[in-house]
Amino acid sequence: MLSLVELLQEIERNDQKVVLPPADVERLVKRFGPTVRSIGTWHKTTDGSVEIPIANIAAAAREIGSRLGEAVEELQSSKDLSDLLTESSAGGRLIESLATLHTKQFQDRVERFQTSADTVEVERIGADLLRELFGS
Amino acid sequence: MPNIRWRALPAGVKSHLLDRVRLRQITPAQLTELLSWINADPDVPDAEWCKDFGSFKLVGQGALPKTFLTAELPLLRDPGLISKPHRKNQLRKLTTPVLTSYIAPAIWRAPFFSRPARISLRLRMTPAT
Repeated sequence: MLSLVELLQEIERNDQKVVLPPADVERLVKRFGPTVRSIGTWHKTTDGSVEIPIANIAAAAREIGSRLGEAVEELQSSKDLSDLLTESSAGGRLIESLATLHTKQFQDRVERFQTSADTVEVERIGADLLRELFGS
Repeated sequence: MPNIRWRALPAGVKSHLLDRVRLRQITPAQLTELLSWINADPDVPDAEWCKDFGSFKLVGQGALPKTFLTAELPLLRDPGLISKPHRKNQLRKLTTPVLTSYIAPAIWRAPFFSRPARISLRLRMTPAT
């Protein structure tokens, strides 16, 4: 049995993502506002789902505190993320934290795009930024 | 009130936006503001509209996003009118509070991110006789 810290480390090592289905996204938007679409990559031009790296969920949960540790552990065992966000009393805070984290990562990518001298990397990040902004 | 169809944004406009970001004419914070605005899935008027992000503006018509303009580029009905002050009264006020004040569909025919022509002066130093 992994401890919570070990579990979070395990999650961060793997680049796993959780996809919030479009119906859940809209349900959460009605409850928590449009910030929900910023907690991950919003597939605005396709199905309207939101893709969130599990590492971000773990980091946001860690930031909020131990109350969500158990919930994240359940998420690892495929509990529905939207249920976690809706049922947990800290759901609103988790959404805020996830949105802040995702925004910070986006800004970091823009800064990297501006400063990198590696043309291949610039091209990759550029395509990434456009996908994030305008969809694929 | 339609929602914006981002797929309709021309590829050339997108890559020009990236060029401006790369040249640091658009800051990471301003691009993040654009992302937050897009993710808010805003309703836009059926007619022409414009959203100001500080160093650049996004203009569109109904659900269709058209192009980005530099902050200093005025939104006139005809790009040819930019240098004619007496035609300023052709500017039209937009009533939607979330958007900026002026709109002008014809400017979309102008090159996006174009700047007004610069006048350069050369001074020649001649030795005093």
